[in-house]
Amino acid sequence: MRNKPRIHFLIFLNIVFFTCAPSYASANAMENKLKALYIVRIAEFIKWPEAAEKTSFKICIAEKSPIFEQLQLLQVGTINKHPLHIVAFNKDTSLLDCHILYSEKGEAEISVIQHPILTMSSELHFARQGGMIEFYIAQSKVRMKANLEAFALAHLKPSSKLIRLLTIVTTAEQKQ
Amino acid sequence: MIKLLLKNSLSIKNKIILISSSGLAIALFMVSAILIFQNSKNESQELSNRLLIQSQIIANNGLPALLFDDPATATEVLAALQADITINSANIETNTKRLFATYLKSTNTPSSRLYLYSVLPWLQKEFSIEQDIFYHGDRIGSVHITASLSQLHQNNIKYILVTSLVSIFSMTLTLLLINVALRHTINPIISLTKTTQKISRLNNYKLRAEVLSQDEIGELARNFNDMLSEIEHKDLILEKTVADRTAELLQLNNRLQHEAFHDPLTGLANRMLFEDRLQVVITQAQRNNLLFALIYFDLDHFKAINDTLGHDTGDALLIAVTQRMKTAIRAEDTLCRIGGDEFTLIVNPIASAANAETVAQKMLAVFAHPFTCNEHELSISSSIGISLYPEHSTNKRKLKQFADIAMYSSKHSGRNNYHFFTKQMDTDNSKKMDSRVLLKTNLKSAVANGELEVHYQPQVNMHSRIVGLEALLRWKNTKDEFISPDVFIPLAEESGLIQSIEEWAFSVICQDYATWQKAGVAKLNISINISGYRLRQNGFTQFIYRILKEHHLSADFLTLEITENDLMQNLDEMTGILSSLHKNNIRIAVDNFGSGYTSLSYLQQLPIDEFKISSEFIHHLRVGYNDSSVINAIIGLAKSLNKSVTAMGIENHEQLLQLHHLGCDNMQGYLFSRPLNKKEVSDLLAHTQFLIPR
Repeated sequence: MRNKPRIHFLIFLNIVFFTCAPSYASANAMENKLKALYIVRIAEFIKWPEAAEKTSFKICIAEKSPIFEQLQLLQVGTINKHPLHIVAFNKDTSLLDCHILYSEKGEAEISVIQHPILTMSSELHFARQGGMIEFYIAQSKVRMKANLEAFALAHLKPSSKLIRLLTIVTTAEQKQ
Repeated sequence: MIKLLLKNSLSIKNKIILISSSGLAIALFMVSAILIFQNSKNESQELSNRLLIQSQIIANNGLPALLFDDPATATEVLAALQADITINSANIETNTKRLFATYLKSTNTPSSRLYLYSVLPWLQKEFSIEQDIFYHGDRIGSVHITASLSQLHQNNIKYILVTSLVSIFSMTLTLLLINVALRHTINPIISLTKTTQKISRLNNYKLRAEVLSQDEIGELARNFNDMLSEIEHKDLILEKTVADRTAELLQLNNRLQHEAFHDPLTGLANRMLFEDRLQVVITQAQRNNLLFALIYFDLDHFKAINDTLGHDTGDALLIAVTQRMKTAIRAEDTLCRIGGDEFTLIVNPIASAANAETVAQKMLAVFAHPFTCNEHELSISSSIGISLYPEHSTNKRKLKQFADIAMYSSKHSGRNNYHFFTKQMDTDNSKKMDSRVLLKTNLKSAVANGELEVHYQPQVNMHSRIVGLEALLRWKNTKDEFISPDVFIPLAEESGLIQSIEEWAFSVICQDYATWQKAGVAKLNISINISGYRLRQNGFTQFIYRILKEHHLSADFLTLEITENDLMQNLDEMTGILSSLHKNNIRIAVDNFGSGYTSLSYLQQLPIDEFKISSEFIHHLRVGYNDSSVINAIIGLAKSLNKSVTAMGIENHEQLLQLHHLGCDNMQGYLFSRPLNKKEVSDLLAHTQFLIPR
């Protein structure tokens, strides 16, 4: 008698899983699409130091990230008048040429600290941990947190218009 | 409108103020209107620009929110519009018209604005602007801002009020300044005007205008004063002249008045004054129960003296008579000359008729001694008539009439005496007067009724040949009674009928003569008696020529007979008239020559063709007596002057023989023929050219 409720619970979980799985997948795709879009758009509101000026604008993204695919689909030609290159990186890729670095788990973050690279991630507490922009979901909308200290360290200047949209967090807050 | 405003009754000051204020008001109104319009336009433009800028800011600031799908941030961006109280609402829409963020002003509209829109409901309440939001050239949304215009309207109203207040203040200030300026400019004119009015009202040219300024008006005042001085000077001269002239006129008036009421010859009261005095005396007598006498005098045979010795002697006699009469009356009695030789005397008052009788006797005594006038010793008498107030009448007209009747009674009873009026005299006079009045009335219709006829008395020469006819008027009335020309001719002259009768007679004579001419009768002279008065009348000679022309007659058959007395009056004029007639072949004869007064010296000058000896002289002509001396003298005179002589009134053979003996040219009288009517004359002339004495 004692095992029957457990079976029932498992059946319930399976039903929930199989019922919700397609919708979850669809919501996820939309989220990734928005994130890809935001990654492209956010570049418009960030000022890179002159030293970071290059002939092309490079967005580096983990090659396994679903956002990569979405970025490709966007087919954005230029950002800040520079041709856009979407680079899928791995462990061996040099990230110092990137203007934007999106990592799923914050895996490449340490190597680019203090370089003029806008670091972005959807990982929880990414901004508190020294990342610059952290995507999060609030009220079913993709929202962003920002660590302005990280921006300062990287000599990047976010537009005030952008800042208005961001939820500001600090590293120090994280430390506490 | 402007004419209405500037009507002439307005003073110059008011006109200037009116013009200035009107001009200023128009200018201020136009400036205010332009400023208000410009301000309103600027305000609108400013609002529009401000909203545009704000919309652009919102679009710019809202772009990231739209890009990152952050309506909350977009709402925050819109909330910044709170600072602008004019903005009622704003919203951001996506490209798909989805409302992305919105802002709505929370504060209520102030009641003042609601009142404004209730008063001016046609005012636009809101103004909207739309700004598209672009991202990389693509429209991704839009910003809509709606602003309230109430603030704008309020500002405009405030501006209008301020502008109006400034305009009113400016206008008031300007008018005050104009008023002050005008006071200094116009006051001298007003002062000058008041002075002119005062001068005009008081007619006092000694007044002077006050010179209040040194400008043109001051100059005008000085000139005006100079002009007043000149007028004052001339006025004084004029007053003196007027005073002199008035005195002269007064003197002249007195003289004229005296002349109007006095006889210029004798200086006695004339008829007008007599009438007035008589009325006064009657009034006094009525009031005081007094008696007075009215005495009429007429000089006996005065006309004869006038005719024979001339008017100068006649006038001298009248003056002498007057002077003597004055000595016989009291100072309070009024002696008047009311006609040629007619005088009146009002003896006022009298106690009884005896007093009047005494005066009358005194007056007769005045004429007892002859008068010496122009070297002539003249004896003359007076006939006197007396009427008494109130015994005979209290009526003025009747008193005069009764005195006149009494005077004529004296004349008829032998002259040189006096008579009191009696009722019997009045009765007799009335009958006589009635008869004259009746006769005068009948005479008026006599011409129209054909009662007047022209008769002709033949004139023959020494061979008994008929040489002429004298035309004579005869009046046979409806009772077949012949009325003598001696009776009706004076009546015709009195009533003014003589002119029409003469014209009628002349026309008949010409017609008769033309008939005889056509019948082949030998040429004859027709003599017509004419008065000097008619001859002198304008147009009479033209009348003669016209009638002759109408009957196609030449004038050489015509002889105009005129008496000596008529001939000698206005001799110069008469000479001219007779010369004119004579030149046109009309013969001139002097009628009853020798019975009047003729200056022999003029006989040569006058164009006379014939003397007609009065029948009075012929009447006394007898063989063996010296009565023929006058006729002889006349015929001798005529012969010496180369005039023909016609003797009138020949009634017997004795007279005929004497005239034959004396050499008279032609004769006329009952011995040959009585006056004949036209038919009788026509028959006579048809059968013979001779008349045998009977």
